[in-house]
Amino acid sequence: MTISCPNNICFVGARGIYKYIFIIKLNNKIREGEAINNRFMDRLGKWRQFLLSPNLVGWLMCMPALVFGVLFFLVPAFVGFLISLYDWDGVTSMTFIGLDNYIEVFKIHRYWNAMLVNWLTFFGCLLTQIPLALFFAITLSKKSPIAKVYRSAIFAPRMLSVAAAGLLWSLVFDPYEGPLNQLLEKIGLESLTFSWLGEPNTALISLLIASSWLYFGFHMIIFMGGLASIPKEYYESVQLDTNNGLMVLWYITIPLLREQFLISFVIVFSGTFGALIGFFSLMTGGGPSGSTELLGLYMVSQAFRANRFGYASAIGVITFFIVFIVLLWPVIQTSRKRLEY
Amino acid sequence: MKKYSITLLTIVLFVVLGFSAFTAAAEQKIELKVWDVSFNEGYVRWWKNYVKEFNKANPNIEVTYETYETEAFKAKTAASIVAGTMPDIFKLNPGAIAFKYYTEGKVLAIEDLYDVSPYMPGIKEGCSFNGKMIFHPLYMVPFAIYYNKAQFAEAGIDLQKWADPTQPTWDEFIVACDKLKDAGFTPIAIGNASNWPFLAWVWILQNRFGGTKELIDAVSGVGSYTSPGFIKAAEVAQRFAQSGYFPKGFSSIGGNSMYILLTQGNGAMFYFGTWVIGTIKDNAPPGFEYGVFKFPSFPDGNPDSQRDIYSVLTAFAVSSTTKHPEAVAKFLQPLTTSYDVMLSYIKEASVIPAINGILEMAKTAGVDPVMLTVAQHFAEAKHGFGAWDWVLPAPVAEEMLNMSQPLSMGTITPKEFCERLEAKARQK
Repeated sequence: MTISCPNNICFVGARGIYKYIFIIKLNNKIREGEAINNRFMDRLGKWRQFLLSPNLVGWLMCMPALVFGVLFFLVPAFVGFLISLYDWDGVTSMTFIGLDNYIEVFKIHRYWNAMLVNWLTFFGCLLTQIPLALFFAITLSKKSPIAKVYRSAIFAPRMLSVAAAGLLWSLVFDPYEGPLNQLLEKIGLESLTFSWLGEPNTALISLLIASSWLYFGFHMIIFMGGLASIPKEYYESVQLDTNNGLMVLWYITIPLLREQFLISFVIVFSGTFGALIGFFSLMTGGGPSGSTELLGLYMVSQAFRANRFGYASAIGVITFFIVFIVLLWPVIQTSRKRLEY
Repeated sequence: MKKYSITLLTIVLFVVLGFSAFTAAAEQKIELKVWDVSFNEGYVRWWKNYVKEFNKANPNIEVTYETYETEAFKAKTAASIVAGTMPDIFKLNPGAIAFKYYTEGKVLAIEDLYDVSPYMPGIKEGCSFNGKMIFHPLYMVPFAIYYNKAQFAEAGIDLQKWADPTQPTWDEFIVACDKLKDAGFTPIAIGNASNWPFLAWVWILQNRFGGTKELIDAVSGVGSYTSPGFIKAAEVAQRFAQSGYFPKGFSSIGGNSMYILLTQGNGAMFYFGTWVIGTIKDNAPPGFEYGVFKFPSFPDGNPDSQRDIYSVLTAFAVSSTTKHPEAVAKFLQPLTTSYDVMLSYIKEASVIPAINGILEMAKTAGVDPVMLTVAQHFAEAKHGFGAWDWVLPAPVAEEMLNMSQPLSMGTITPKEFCERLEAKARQK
């Protein structure tokens, strides 16, 4: 800017004003930049803090399991849900049918039969495996050589594969050559020599016996871990008032094993709707007459025999939600009230 | 100097690596994988030997032969087809399910790979779609009733007293069953854990009452699964199953246990395919003698069907994902061109290949006489039909299999069996 002025002083003044305004504006810009820079540095700082923090190590440690879980559980579950909205035989192209598969599932008697079998299996396993496991955990928690031998013997079945265990029990229950019927005949109980896996009335009970033998040792170990963590002072203080073992069990031991009960409950429930499928498939295939057909077996037969992958996926999705809803509530409740000694 | 040495070394390294890759590629063998079902040891032995000899004769081809139990095999194959990971060659039974694989491009037609003229015309038709031969027939397994001669003699049953010693009437057959029961034997060896063995009775009974036309009409939708032949077949089968002729707990007997019921003495008669001949050879105690006769006839049944035979036709399919169709053709073709190979197949595997003239050759080649008898029955039959669980569409087949145990145990009525089958077949 120039101002017409009679002498150089005006010119110098104008330049000065201009410089002053320029400097002010520059300072403002610098302060603005600094502010932006500070915000950037803050954000960068948080990342820097994160990158340098111990949490990163934890996240990196969890990453393989998380990736595995996402790739092999979440993604297939989502794909399964998508397939359930289609009519698909696995060979020809897929036809979108919306929720028709779900509507059909709820109308089929065989589905409700499988649901009933699944719940009966769950309660059967729960009422046999957990009490047995608790009983042996308490009885064998003593430090003696004999107790160690018994603990190993009870846990040993868990070392067998499901296939080996299924084959073993199929031989035990064989109506002609099986040792069970042969023993019953020898002790004069021929009237009890059933075809254990061949009659609808005895097949499910036989499978419950076999699966309890296979799995209760694992629950025993869980309870033993819980028992070992209960402070002895609790028992000592109770013993000042009473020697009644049942009262000690009911008021001290069982409440303090709450988390172990929850773990076992989760394992039994999820196993009934999942892991037991292989065992039941090997031994009876869901028969005779659907008396041991779990939801999982029904789903597999619809997928790989009837070639109805959409319908089978709908059964899978429904089963997933059943398991999720049933297991979510106790897990949340227990995690809120953490047990501390 | 050092710089030049490093450069020279690098060049030499690349040359060596490149040469190795080239030679490795040149030496790389063609690998073929074959999936099959193991139903008796002789069959598996024969195939393993055939593969071994083939690999020896063709050093640039490596064939791997894998066998599985029947029910596990069905699920494995179905899963691999969906996933597109089929082996180069796999076993299946031609029918609605199998032909769908072809129309959807999952399998190749063998007619495009090698000459198919040696096959028997009827078998060729069974493996063809729209006149083109798709599957390679492995063998036919006609069903007949194999019986324990010692238990028959002890029960006082003399086949010569039947009007036709090679085929009793149903009434003569029931009399024989009652005599066996009275003598303390289990008349019928059957294990129905996998559902289809009892259904094999339903299928042949439907054929006796309604004939193959009634079946074809029902499958095509022109007729119905509630036609009189179907209902009567289900009634007779259920009544037979409830008469105490089957072993205790037959619904839980399956797999290999089923095959050895006859040789263990836990069933005097076994309605089954020629596979049982190989099982008897492998498992029967010394001195075990057995005979064979056709499934009983019904004088009041369909006059055209009383000599019909239920026969499993098993084939190999060539996967469309195979990278070496020429090698596959080289592997399969001797099975149609070499009579020596086929004769050894009959003798060791106890199955009947589907090649023209093989039956006549087998008569003079020392093949098991029981096998020859069954082959003769097959040749005399007016019609044959395959396993319904492969012929019917998959959802209908699965529903039928699911109802097998309830029908045999009396928890559903024959009419309900037929009505549910019809409803499933017509469901859209």
